[in-house]
Amino acid sequence: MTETAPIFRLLDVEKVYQIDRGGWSRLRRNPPRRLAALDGIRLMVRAGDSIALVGESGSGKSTLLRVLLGLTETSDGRALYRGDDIAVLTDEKRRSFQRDVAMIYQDARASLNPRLKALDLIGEPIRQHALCPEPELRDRVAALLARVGMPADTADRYPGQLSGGQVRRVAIARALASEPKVIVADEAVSGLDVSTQAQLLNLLRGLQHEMGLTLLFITHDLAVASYLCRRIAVMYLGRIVETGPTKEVLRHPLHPYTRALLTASPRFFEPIAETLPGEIPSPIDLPPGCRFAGRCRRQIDRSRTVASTSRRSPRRAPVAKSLASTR
Amino acid sequence: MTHQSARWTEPRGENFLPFTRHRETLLSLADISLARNGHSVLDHVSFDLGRGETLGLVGESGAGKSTIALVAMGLLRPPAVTLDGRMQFAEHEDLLAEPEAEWATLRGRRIAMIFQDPASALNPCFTVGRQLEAPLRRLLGFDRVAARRRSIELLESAGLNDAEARLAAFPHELSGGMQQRVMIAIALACNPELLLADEPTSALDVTIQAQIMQLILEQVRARNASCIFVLHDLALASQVCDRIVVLYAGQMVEAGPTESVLRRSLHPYTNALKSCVIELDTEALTPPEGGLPALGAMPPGCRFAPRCSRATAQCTSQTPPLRSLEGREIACWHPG
Repeated sequence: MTETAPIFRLLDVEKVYQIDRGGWSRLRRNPPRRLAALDGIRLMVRAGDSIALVGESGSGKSTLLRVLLGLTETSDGRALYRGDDIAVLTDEKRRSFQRDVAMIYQDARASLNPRLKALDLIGEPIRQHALCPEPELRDRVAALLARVGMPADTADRYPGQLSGGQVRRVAIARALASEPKVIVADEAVSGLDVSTQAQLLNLLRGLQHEMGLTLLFITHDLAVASYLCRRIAVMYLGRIVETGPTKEVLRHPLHPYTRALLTASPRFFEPIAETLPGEIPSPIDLPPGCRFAGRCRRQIDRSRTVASTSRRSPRRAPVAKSLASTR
Repeated sequence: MTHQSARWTEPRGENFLPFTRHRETLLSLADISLARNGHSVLDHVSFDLGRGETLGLVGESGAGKSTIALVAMGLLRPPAVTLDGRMQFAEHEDLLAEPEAEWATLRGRRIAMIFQDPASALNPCFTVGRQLEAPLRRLLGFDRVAARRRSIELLESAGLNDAEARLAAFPHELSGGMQQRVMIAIALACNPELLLADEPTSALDVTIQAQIMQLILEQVRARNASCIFVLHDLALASQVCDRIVVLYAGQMVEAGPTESVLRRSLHPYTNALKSCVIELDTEALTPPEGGLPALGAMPPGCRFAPRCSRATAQCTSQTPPLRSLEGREIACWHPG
């Protein structure tokens, strides 16, 4: 694969929320507690790339997305879009950023105004960026609807008249309306029937190939990640613990957390996998050392205290684990 | 009745019954048809469930899976819907015909349900302890002290650490996985003979899903209870169910032992569902086009015919009967 220009670059991005304890603590002027949602994220997204961000709820996937879209400011580190800091884009650059980077939200129905018809929902970005004269709007929307496999008469329907799968298709059409270069999708196929999910996955795959889109896909399903994305980044408690080519990472996972995620996915006719103990801990006031140590089967004292930062394994990009090589 | 007092003995731990083919039938649904506002939701659904058996209802949303669970729980009853057919449960010959007073002695006590979304099924205004003690005190006549002691035991067996402190917690203070554990503890509080689990893990992460499924299976087996799972994940269904019922648009299309139905599927719809399952090495998915027919616009004949690649004129005119074939029941004119 030829190296193309990086679209997004995250340089040691941190996002810390201060949690006000309230009440007596405030009077006593106790320091507020720290919630580290993102902790030293390094990520590079090149044009035409497809990256899956996977991890359990609470691992920081959605915060990372908000940073990439410029909706949340970073506490430390820099998030760059084509070399410019996303947080301080000039008005002109921000407009082109908003046009180039489109988002598909997790809850498609909630992301669409229930009082607008599909025509206006999909037409809104077109009007906003003045992409076509008003009389041609309807044809343009019809073309977008056709692109996502919906009949043209959907344009006159409200979201409430559409099924779950159809609403997602309209949300995808709306994302495509501004002719973006990058699509950022947050759990775009979760909570759907297997058949609808399969249809949407095929649609996204087709769009990606035909339009040469760069895709950033948040999912908790490793199989979905491997179906859509060439690269994968596994997140745990605000850190990327393992990243590399999807096929390679899933075939030979090095980080115990990646391995645990892999075994937890249900497989036909196999007994339920031995489960990962416990739940993802609260990200408030985390102890030093490896974040995963409390649930890790291979945990020894070293990994508890040696802060494991990402390091390169011989074959691929960072594996954040002090024991990763001792398989 | 002897079995009622026997239900108070402690769960039998590891000594659960091994899979046996000849079990006593606990629940038998016969020709259950349900209509809402004149639209047919369930059409002649019939299956039996043995004691200690786990059965999975699978299909797309709108197939009627959850509706069956609600009917079996006695939560969906006339006059809200029109309901025909017969439901036999233990010594009750026809439970659907019995009055609410009779249901009230069963619901929560001998038939219990785990709902899909624990956050909305638990009452946000009451502590976990209060919600867990309620069935113990109300249905089993425990006093306050005994109910509290039993609640702690139940939470511990549901895998919650620090159970005593959790009794004072409100549902919103717990994570989704912990809420689901609380709901399992509530459902199992009275040692039910039949447990209905409606997508118990669809709101949870995969790692927690594995934990919760393991927990439900352990608890159900320890009590020799029967369980009906409503699932949309076929791979998960193959892991936890003894038998599978595949539903499409309110009709049973294929039913039988999990091995036959999922490994050697004969119905085109079961095969279509299997082709949608995405696994790590999936290269291409071939889902069936379109979706379920609308409630008011059921096609004549086989309801799957409009999406079926094998459909013929016979399929669109005559409804295929449910018949036995190669160790399962199937409703299709062209199986194979």
